[in-house]
Amino acid sequence: MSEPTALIEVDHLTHVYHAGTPHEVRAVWDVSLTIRPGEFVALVGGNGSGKSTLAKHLNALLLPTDGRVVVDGLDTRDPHALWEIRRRVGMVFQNPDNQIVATVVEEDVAFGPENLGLPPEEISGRVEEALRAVGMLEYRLREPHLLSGGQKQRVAIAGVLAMRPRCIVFDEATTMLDPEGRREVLDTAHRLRDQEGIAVVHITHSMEEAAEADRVVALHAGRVVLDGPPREVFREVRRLREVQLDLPEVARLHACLVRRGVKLGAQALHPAELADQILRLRRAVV
Amino acid sequence: MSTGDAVVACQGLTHVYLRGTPFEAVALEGVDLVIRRGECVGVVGRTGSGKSTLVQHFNGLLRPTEGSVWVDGVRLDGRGETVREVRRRVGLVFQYPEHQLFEETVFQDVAFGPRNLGLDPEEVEERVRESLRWVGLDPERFGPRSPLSLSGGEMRRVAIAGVLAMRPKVLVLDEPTAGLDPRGRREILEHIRRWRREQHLTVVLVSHSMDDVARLCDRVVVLHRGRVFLDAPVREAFAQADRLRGVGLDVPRVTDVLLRLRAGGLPVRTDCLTVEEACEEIVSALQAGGSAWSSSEA
Repeated sequence: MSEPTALIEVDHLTHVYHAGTPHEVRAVWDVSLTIRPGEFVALVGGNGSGKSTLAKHLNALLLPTDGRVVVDGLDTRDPHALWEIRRRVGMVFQNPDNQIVATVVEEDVAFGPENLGLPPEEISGRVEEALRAVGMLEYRLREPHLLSGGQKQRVAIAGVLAMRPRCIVFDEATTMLDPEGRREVLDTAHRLRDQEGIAVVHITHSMEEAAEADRVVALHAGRVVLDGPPREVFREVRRLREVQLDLPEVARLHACLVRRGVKLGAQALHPAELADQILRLRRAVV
Repeated sequence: MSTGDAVVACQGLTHVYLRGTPFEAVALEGVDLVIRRGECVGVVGRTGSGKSTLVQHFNGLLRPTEGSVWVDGVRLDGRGETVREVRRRVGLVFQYPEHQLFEETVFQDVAFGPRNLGLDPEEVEERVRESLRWVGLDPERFGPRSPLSLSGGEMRRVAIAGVLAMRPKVLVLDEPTAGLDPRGRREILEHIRRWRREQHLTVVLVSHSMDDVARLCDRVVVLHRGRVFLDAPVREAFAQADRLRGVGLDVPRVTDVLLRLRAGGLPVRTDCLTVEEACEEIVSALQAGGSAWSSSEA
């Protein structure tokens, strides 16, 4: 089962909230999934589809009702592995105002490494490296509450990075940000993946953001209903509609043009791509 | 100041937080703005641009540091019954309003406002039922339920019903679709469109989502550092992509495609707001330009 390339192995995971009470809710149902090192995975699905519950299993914030989750060879049910698992898989949450604990940026980033009991030089080295990686080094002595939402989220990412993780889970971490803040956080996530080889699991309602991932996993009613590269997943137009998801706007425009008889290439997901296809068509005429 | 058919008007509105302390922050500076009856106005801008501060003046939650705000021709900075009555005409739905649901049942939660108006119980019940129907929730089915048992989109609609039960003339919604899935988002937008049509509500939509604003609004007001940076019909506003991007905002994706086409030499209009409209525009530009674009004409 566990091929050597797996970073996180989710194996027949089921999670039931309030099991055995009248409020019992089956949030995740028999899900198997492999996250590979350095992969950028978008996790999408409607409210109540189980995506946040699934994500919280990736670093043992929740434990399986049934099945198991193995992170880098460590089973999340093993209490002795807990801190090691949380070090390897970090999480960034939705609200930028709830995640920062210290009154100075660099102290906030140092919080995790200090808890690891590292020597002071090692800690300051890691803090500097982490802040540089998210483009926030010049803000190291600032007060976090004076930063913008996108900057606060980047500080939260630096806090996770200082633990030298192998994977970062973004649990709707762009939802509360303005467009520029979203862009800052997404660009940071992509850069960490490209340059540091850190795997990213990005939970989002935005199909545009999902289209930028290597792989899209769609959940519905606690099960995985689609799993593949964005191009394959967004081809499943009917299936997406059944599970209450949308196509990216650009893909809808592409589909509309094709219906009107315009001879375009394969489905386009990004504005530049669709514009290129249309302009090339015109050049062919001239 | 002549207000005409204005329902909300601001003149020289300035708001300074914590004035006279080291934390003093100018949130709004000299804002002039008129919102006319029946309009849907999108208020956009980066975090910290003053959007929330602005709309909190519309129902007297904040008082101007300088300048003034009128609702239905009544200046809000006074006291007395009239001013209180007039403030009530503006209903404010905050961000993540579902976090403020607190009653045992959906019915009780929606009834909270009307009850505080001192209405008699039958009138309260009638308003609650009507408001729940307006947000697409069956009063019989949802009324007795606990708000906590609802989905995120349903909870948000209950919170909006609580504001609609006050029968406002102007509904101000601060990020009404944030955090909702595509279906929840579509439902909310669809409802807002209906309230405008059927209740003749004036709507102010505060949003980061240019796609939402493009779908819903007639006019966009862009705030930047506490000032009005741009105030124009939606089509005109989104055609100025460079200016919007310059203040950290985006244009709708569809507009982005059209702008790239035009930059690449295809003469298309760039003020289309929906996918369908953009599709037609591109097809006609291609038709005008040559014949080898279509599979049917090949």
